[in-house]
Amino acid sequence: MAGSSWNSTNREILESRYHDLRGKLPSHGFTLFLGPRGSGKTTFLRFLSKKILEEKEGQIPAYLSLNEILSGRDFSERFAVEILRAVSRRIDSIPDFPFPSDILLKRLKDQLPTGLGRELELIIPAIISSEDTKALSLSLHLPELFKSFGIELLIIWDDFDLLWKEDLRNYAKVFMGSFTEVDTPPHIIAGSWGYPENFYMDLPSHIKSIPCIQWPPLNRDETGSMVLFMSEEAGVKVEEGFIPYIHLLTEGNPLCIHSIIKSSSEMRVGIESINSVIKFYSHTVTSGDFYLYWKRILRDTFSDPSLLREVLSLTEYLSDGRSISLSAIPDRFPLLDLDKLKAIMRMGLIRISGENLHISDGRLTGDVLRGIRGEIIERQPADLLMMDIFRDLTKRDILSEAEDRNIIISMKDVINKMSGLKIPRRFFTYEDQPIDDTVSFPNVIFSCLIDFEPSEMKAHIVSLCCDGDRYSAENERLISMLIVTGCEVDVKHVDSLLRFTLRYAMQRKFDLWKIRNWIVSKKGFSEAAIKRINEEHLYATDWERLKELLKFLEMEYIFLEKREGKEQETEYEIVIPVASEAETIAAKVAEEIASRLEFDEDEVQRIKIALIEACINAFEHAYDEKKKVFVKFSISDERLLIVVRNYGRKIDLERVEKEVMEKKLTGIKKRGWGIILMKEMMDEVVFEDVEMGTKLKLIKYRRKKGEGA
Amino acid sequence: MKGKGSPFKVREADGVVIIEAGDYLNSISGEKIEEEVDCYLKKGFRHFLINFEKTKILNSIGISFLIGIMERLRSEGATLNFSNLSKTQKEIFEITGLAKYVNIFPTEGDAILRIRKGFDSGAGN
Repeated sequence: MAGSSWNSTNREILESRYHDLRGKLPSHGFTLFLGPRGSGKTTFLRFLSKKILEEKEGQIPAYLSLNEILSGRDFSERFAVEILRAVSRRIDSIPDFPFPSDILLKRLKDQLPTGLGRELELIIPAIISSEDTKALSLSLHLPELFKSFGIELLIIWDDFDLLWKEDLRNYAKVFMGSFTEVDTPPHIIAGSWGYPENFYMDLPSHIKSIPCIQWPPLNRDETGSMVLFMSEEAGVKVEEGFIPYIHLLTEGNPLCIHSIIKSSSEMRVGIESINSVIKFYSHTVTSGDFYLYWKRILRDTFSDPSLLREVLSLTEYLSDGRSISLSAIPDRFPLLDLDKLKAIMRMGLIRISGENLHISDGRLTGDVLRGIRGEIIERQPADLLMMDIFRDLTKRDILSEAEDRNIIISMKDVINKMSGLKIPRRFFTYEDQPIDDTVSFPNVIFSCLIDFEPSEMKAHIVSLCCDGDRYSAENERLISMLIVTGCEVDVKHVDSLLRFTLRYAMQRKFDLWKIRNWIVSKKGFSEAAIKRINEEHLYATDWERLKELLKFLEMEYIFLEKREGKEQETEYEIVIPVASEAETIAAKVAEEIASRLEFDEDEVQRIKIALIEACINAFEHAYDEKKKVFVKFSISDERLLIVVRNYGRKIDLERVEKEVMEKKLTGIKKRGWGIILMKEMMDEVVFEDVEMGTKLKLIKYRRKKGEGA
Repeated sequence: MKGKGSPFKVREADGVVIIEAGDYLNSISGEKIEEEVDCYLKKGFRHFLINFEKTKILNSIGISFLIGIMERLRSEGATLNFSNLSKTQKEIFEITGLAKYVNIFPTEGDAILRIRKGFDSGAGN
């Protein structure tokens, strides 16, 4: 919205838009709200939800912000809570409070239509006990369930585009599947276009082909609140390729998109109006924002840095009112063939008049471009690099874990030691035939990615390290390294590294030939990964080869052994009966051990609270006759590991979840926060479904004084 | 803790019901606190303060009882106040969302003073 204050005008605008929309929402299928960030989608959707609640008795609006729901753990529980809260708002006058789902369900059950409460008792526990993607899939059936009882549950998914983030792609797939079910009850989904790389591209074709209207009607005096409303009932079509085009051109730049909509005087929005905005903004911005956007667009189109440089040179050349004939292009700009020129022209930045090329708008002067370039593009690369590093380190605190840091620092030493030497290639390759030749690493800058999520086969970009001081424009090499310790390296790790490195290189104007991708894996490589590694000419080294390399470099490899050094661990084990408050005995022992390990008082409290919850959890699931729970404390230099184990018959997890839920519903107010608390209090919590019982691992890392939590 | 620890205590001061939570807030103590709150509510008290000074540990079931108490008091137009929370306890109440619905004070004295001010301005019972 234009201002942060909430005034009557805002409300009037929203009322007016609601009035326009009322009755247009289709009675089935998905309605997409697409708009730029900050255009007021969320404000409107919340308002819509409130109005539906006030005006449509047969409908329950459930506004779900994926940004909020996915920001924490326990997606399924949070989802269930939000749905049940929405139902509460319709049928109950309870305070709007995020009780755990079991408590909400218990209090709602009697007020729901006969049968619906019973159904929810089955489906809600199933949702919260499922893996997140399955939970999402189940949740998509909730509106159908409600519909069979004459209630329309309208789920409004906000921040929908978040699903296109790399680690949430599985959710997106579930959604994609549901899009194909055309008879699905109504859902509204909203997202910012341009933000997710493949959002639009991934949509099924029947969604892409549905007509689109621009809504609400345009008014140049209004700021913000621009939303595109797509529905089958809308009568106006956009030009083919509108959304991919706008995505490509603006990368979600709100200035551009907003103006594209504003500048169109009719309901038809298309490439012409987009181009006019691009032209308009190409000379009116005073900051470097547009230049950067433009540069990114060009970069995406011309991914070869040399070509990109030439495109930029051409536009700079043309920007001072100069022109160049097409016939002179090959001499001056040999990389720009006719197709490339056409692509630039399609962006509206260059026009052709007769045989000559011109910049589209004479006011885009070379001074402006060079000024922006001097200000932003040519700043000291080392500074920019260090800023990136700082951002990454604060984003993920993984480096506070001593062992990880050890590995990174040690690998940096390895690379430093390799600098200038000729190293046998066999340390880095997995080719069938042994190779006798050598490789060398001159003037290396070190970049590092690390994956420490053993339970998930995905490579996270966790940290980035480099020696910024050594960065120089002429004489630098980059080793982009992925260290995977938790699992075998698969193709997706390789691709992740390649993508990251490419992006990084582009941002930093790093010539690709100067980069060497290197994956170091503790648990080896899959066959497919090796194939990809060979195809892409990456370096790959497993732990054994790394040890050999260290021997070659005459370096200690203690850091590689630490993780395996179980002999250094001290263990204590206690057995507690399943009895009232027996968990406090375990907590007392934990307190003593944690205090000895010099955890501060708050951390000791956190460990105790997590252990109490783990014990209560184990008590509930202890099905054997002896009713005992085993608690083992394993101490290493890096961390305190507490394993809570119960023995008994093999647990049918689905059945247990159902029983537990029934017990919760029929008993007095019971738990619901246990798992959440455990996860919040500890660094890691791992449930293991083991033979004859269950095992829960709680991990708290030891940090040196002065290190953040 | 059980057998050794301090049980919870209830007293009344300046129209405020002060509950000193015991060292372990679980289902047993949670239920007892709930009963006491019910009892004082019926007597017409409208301000309740739980002092966590002696509370070493609390578990999720205890928290559920606190949520229930909070809900009950809100529905009756009464207030629930917490004091003497440790850093971790405060963190837990923030995680569970309870912190949004209760008044949290550093000490019992601060709480009573603030609640009394509420009385003086006519906001109390």
